[in-house]
Amino acid sequence: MLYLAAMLALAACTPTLKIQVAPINIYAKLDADVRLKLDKQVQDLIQKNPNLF
Amino acid sequence: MEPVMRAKSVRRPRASLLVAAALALAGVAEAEVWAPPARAQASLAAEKAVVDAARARGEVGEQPDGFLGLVSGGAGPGVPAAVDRINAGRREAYAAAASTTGVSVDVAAAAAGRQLIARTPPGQYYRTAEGAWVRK
Repeated sequence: MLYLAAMLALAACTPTLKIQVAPINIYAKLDADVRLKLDKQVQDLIQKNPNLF
Repeated sequence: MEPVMRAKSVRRPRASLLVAAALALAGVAEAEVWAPPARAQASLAAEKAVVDAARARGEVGEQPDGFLGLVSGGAGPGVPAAVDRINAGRREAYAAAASTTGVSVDVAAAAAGRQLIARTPPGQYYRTAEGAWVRK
């Protein structure tokens, strides 16, 4: 029973693991200028919205 | 050139001068910064107070995905609802940053998560990429 459940869980997870790229990894691979611009925009958002951050 | 300058000095449009000064101070980049609708501000301020108190008690922390999370161990009444409201506001803010930089909302949110975890003061909790809650 446990073995079956484990196999099912594995089968359910494996395809997801293959397609999903963590957003932070996409961030890390952005062009340097895009990443800089994004970082600046996010920094402004954080500073200008004290009710959200 | 001269008549225009004279007209300006005579009329002294104070309000528009103030606006112009504010714009000059703010600069182009800051004029683009997203802000929630004014009517949402008062409610958000109340929720922010709830969340800040919960942060100080170690019930709420920043996550790598750019959103607030409930630290395992339980949170006080009203805390989960306040976290949800603030996260919804954050999602809108991230969507604005994402559309101007051409990245997905998740990527903009992850960029914020990095900064927010870095800004977390000592004593408060943040979540690692592996999902563990760590006290800074």
